[in-house]
Amino acid sequence: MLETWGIWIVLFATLLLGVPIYISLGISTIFVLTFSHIPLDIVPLDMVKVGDMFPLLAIPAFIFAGAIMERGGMADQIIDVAKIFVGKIRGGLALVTILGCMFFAAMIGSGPGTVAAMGTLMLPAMLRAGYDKKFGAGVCATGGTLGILIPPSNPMIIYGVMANVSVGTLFMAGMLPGAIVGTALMLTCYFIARKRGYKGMDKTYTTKEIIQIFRQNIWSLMAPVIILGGIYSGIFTPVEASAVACFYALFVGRFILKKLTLQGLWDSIKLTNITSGTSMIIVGVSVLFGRFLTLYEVPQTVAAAMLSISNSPEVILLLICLMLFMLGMFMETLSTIVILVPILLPVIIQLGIDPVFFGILWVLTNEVALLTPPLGANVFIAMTIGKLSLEEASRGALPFMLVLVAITVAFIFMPDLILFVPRLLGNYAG
Amino acid sequence: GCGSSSTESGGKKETGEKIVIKYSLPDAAIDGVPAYEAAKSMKEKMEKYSNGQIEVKLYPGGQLGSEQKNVPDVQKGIIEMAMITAGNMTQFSPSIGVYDFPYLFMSREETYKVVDSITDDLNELQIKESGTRSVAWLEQGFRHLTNSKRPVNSMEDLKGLKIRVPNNKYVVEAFKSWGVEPVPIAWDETFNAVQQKVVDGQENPYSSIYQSKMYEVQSYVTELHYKIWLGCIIVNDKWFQGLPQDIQEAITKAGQEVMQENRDLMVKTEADLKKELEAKGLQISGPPSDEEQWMKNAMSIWPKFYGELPDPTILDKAMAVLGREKP
Amino acid sequence: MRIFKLVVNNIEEIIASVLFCTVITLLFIQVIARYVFGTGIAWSEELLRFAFLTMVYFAAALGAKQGAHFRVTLLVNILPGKFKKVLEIIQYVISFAFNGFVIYLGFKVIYEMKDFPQISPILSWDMRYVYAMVPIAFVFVTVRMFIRMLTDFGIIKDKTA
Ligand code: NA
Ligand code: NA
Repeated sequence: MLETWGIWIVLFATLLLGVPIYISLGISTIFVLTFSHIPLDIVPLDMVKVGDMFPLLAIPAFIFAGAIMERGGMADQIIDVAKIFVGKIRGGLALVTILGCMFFAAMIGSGPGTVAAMGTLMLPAMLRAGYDKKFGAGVCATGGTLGILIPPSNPMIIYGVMANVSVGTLFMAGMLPGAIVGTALMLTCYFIARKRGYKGMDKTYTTKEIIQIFRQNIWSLMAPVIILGGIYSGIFTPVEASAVACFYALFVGRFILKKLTLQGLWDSIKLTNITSGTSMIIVGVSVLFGRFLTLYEVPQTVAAAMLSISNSPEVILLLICLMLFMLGMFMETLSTIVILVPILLPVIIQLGIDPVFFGILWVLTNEVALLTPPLGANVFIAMTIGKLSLEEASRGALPFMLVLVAITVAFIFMPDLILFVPRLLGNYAG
Repeated sequence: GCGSSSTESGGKKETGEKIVIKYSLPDAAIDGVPAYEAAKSMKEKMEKYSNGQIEVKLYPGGQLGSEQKNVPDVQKGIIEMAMITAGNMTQFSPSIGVYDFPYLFMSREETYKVVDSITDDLNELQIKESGTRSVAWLEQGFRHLTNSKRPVNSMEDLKGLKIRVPNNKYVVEAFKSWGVEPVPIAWDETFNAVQQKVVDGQENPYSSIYQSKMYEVQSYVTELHYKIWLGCIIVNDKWFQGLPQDIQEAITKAGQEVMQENRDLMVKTEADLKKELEAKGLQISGPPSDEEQWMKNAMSIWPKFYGELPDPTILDKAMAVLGREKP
Repeated sequence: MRIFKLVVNNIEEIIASVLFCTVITLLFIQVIARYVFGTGIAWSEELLRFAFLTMVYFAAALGAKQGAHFRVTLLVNILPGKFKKVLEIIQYVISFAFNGFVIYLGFKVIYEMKDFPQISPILSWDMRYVYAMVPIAFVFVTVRMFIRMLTDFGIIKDKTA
């Protein structure tokens, strides 16, 4: 009993005290271990296991690739192309931002990384065109959340590793919801732009110009094809794809577009190091935490408790999403996956809910978490770029966030829509 | 315990009541999987023969991590029992490498004969090298080669195929001797690698091919007989020695019986399994036509590994039972 | 001397960068080897795992140096200044306790592996060296945390943090 409850009490107490998350996970496990029959030797033995969760390397690698793409000029190219498609529509620059985010999201796996790349270019452009600052920041922050829904995706990689689900299948499952959410966000932009009287861009493209732009920007347009195509044709695994993305970005940035400087490379490496330094360690310590829970059969206890509330998959999923929305205000997305997947997965399996579908739902809640204050990584970046306060930036993101919440809830009732692509392309049997 | 005398703290009589045995096995909890059948039977028998003094908690499906990580768990008393394949045990107890020599056994019967006659000697070495002892040795059949590209009837056909192998250098060297550089991948990632066509093929017994649904992503089977799947149920020796005599006997007796059950099951079910896999669409082509050559090449690597055995007489004993000379 | 200082001040960053570059290069070579030369590289997977493990924990020291580790700042943000200091002291005490456990237990397990050694299955490395990466990296984590604490409390002025 003490083991089952003690670990949660100490975990939440230390989290609330502001202790780094990895240390909270570790110290709460050590605390209960001292009262158990399990020797403390388990601590170093389990911390070594992160080496076996090697696919996680894709996370820093996609961060690195994204940083290089941004500094090497590929981000600009994507915007040039996006303008052709949606630039003329009302609120064109906002639509270009979202479409650009969708493109960029197909090359890298991080939400904040997508905001950084697209927002840096598009937010100033929107302000110059007379858009409201809050609205512009909201568009960038929300568009950036597509970075984790459209494959490749860092949270999907973590979820895949923790839940023992194929990362490739998760990536496939993210495609259609990614397109749906992207379209919904663009529609939201359009209606807001109409209400506020924002115009589209004046520029009209001739067929010749369009062909020329495509030809000029072919290297950037090819990146998603190479990365995602390579994964699905079996040329490489998702983790190898992240390495290929790095080298592709380096090659294009240095030798084709010639915009990548040595300083840009060094900045990208530093950004990568700090990301791996802060996120991987949480996974490293969570192995220990998760094994303790397994040894004490905590997931089974939690499953029984949840199933006593309701036997309906929809009700349980709604409750879980509500909990994840609330946690998402205070906790960073990777940590919620690492802590809660080992607990919630047995419940899901017992209810016959597909783990791939559940993974995508989780990523959708993570998208919202990237926007909700006080801790919303995407809003932080958008507010820095636009020099706004946290409150202003989050207010700008609010209408979009509500759209995301509505879509998430709708997907709970439509698992087949999420599983459609993996069933079609990947022979996924779930 | 605060981790002080680690090896003795786990599984001790908890408040004078039951001896809890946490038993980890990485195989799936699917009825019919030999290792899982053995685990269920082992649990039942240990609890029965100890008159309920033992309580076994099963953790199937790799809930507690991979085989390679479960061995330190047993050594440190974090768990009491685990099912480990011989190939993964070799890194902790090099003497178990004796079962890694390719084409050591030509048949199931030879395997049983050798296992029965060298188990005591091998256990002594295993205890010395790793602090663990085996309470039973199980088999799951010969490891056959599967791939998604083409029927492999000769060594020539094998060339250019990317084959997944377990993390074991004997296996790596055997494949190198057949002219391919294999790709070592841990078992839990194998299905993904095969499914996503990162590798073309893999090698495993029929039971694993069936249980992991490998038939969905593979098309051709070549019946190699280079290695039989052997695995041991290990416990911490110091913990075992510290148990009351009657409990030790209950565990040993359960192990013996489970071993016999496993053999009966394998002999009875393997032919059916093969038929079932053919019905699922696998094209099974028997041993390669140039099997002699495969054997000759693979056995040429033996001398490389003689030095890996801390006590080379264990291999000599096995060869004596088989009535053959080592190359 | 300047270079020596630069290396010492940024040792974790250098180790993490070198490992990251090594790992993605190896992965890339793996892909090329498989699809251009039709061959696997038997030893690369094992080496990649060890390098990744080392990278994770040394990069964590970098996170400690920059005070960048993820935490829940809800309470910290709403408390008045005086309590904030108390909270910070508690945070450091808990953090040092955890680091101490990891370092002590890590070295203890490695020491005890002398009786029952483990050899890595492909490269045949003594696994003690691999296991040692965790406590060694945590020594770096602790040192960085300590320097940061002294700076936080205004005891030293640190230009490297
Ligand atoms: Na993405
Ligand atoms: Na948030």
